[in-house]
Amino acid sequence: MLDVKDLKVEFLSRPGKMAVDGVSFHMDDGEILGLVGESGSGKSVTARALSGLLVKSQVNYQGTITIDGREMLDTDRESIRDLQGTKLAVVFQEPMTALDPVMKIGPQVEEALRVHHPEMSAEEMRTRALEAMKQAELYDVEQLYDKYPHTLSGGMLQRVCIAAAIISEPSLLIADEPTTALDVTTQAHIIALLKRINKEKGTSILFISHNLAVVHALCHKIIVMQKGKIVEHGNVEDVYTNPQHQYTKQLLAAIPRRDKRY
Amino acid sequence: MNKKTRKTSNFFLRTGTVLTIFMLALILLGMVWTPYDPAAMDGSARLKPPSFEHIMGTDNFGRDLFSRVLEGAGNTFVIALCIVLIGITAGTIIGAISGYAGGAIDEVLMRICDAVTAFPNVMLALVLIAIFGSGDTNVIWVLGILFVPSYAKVVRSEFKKQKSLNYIKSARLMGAGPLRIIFIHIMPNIWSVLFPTLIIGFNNAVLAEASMSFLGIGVSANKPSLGRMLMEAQNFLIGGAPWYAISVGLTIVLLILGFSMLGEGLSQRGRDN
Repeated sequence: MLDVKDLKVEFLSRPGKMAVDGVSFHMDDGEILGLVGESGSGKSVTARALSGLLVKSQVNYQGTITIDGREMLDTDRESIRDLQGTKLAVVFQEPMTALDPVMKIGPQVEEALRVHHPEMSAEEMRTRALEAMKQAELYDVEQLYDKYPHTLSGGMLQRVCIAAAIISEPSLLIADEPTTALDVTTQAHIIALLKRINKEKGTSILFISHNLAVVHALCHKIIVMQKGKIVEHGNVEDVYTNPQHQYTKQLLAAIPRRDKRY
Repeated sequence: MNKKTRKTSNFFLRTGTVLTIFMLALILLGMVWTPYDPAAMDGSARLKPPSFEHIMGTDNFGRDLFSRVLEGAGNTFVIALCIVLIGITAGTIIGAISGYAGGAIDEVLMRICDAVTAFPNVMLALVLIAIFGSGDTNVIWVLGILFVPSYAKVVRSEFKKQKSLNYIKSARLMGAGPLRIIFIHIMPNIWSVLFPTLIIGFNNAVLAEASMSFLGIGVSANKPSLGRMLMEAQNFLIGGAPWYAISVGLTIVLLILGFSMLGEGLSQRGRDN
């Protein structure tokens, strides 16, 4: 469902240095793909390209990205906007800043519907928002609907963001380090939630992280990136038990070892 | 810090609110009732000092100063309000476009604003009035346009700040278009900054109107306005009737002070939150 072919991205502010250098990969329906690498490895830039956030005046890019057969990269703003909030949804690293501080939770969960289905009645939107919030494992959703973001904890805000992302039933959910800003127990809950959404709705998830333990717990496949290039690509178990590339070995060796798996 | 201590510690906000409400009440009163007809002359009561009959005294035509101050403050208030409305409407639109679009559009709009602000306001107003002629509407338009850049700059810088924040990125990722982002997402978020600016701008508008009238190019001569009354009062400042200038001047000071304190108090509260 997602095809990336020979993606190259170069920042105009640093010419000659490719942030993403010829990345190609494929994602099947219902797959969870982990994209790992250190800071500056190009994983977040890849995610930005996938979510249609690259700005022509700041970067040079080439290659193709197709989501469900629709070209994402080399197209106009209108058709990118058409995909965003319908087929594609993104969850960010910082749930505290990802929500509009002066808008109530409910309308923010409904955002994708409000944008793409202006004809939908307020009642129907509310029903769907409450439903999405329940699916994101939020409780007392009726009360939450009328609350403002600053009254919620980080973990709850991340669930709200996930609810907003899944309300439109996207085929691809890009999660850009969604657990990094959260404490460990909350992380585990969010991971479990993403897993459940993937299982129940068949949503493909592109999970970007530098935390290999989390990726191991969640993903089916893994891509390891270094300096803008893919250095290793395969099933999570294979890569973890038998890493081929030196960089992957180093990354795995850097995981704090524990007896129990996370 | 709990809410109670913060509220009681905001001296500016409290005093400003009380003063502003008091002045607005007087202005409203002046619109429906004045003790005397502001235009009625009384030859037997010229330049009378304040008394129980005329609490601010009378002017050189024997007109009741308190009645005139009430009506004049009302005129000044309405004119300042119109000026601010023009300034804030155009300023918000220009600032929003400039801050949201960025790049060349931003550059062009901001340079135009710079060009306008490069001249001293009153001088530019004098020139424009000389070209287009005086009269209430012209004064309002000219001053309103002169106020546009200051609002445009505030709105622009807020838009630039908000635009880069994550929640705007999220909204864009939901497919929201520019208009939706500007009006539904950014505008409500900059209101807390815009409101104090609006109040301070209102002050400047009162002062600008008063200075224009003082120079004799403000509102038409048959209407009392605070600036015009101050100009007339200066002839009697020494020797004749100092209460004339004092009562008018004090009204301007109280009006400005109230709004200044309210604006300062509000932005202080904005900073605290």
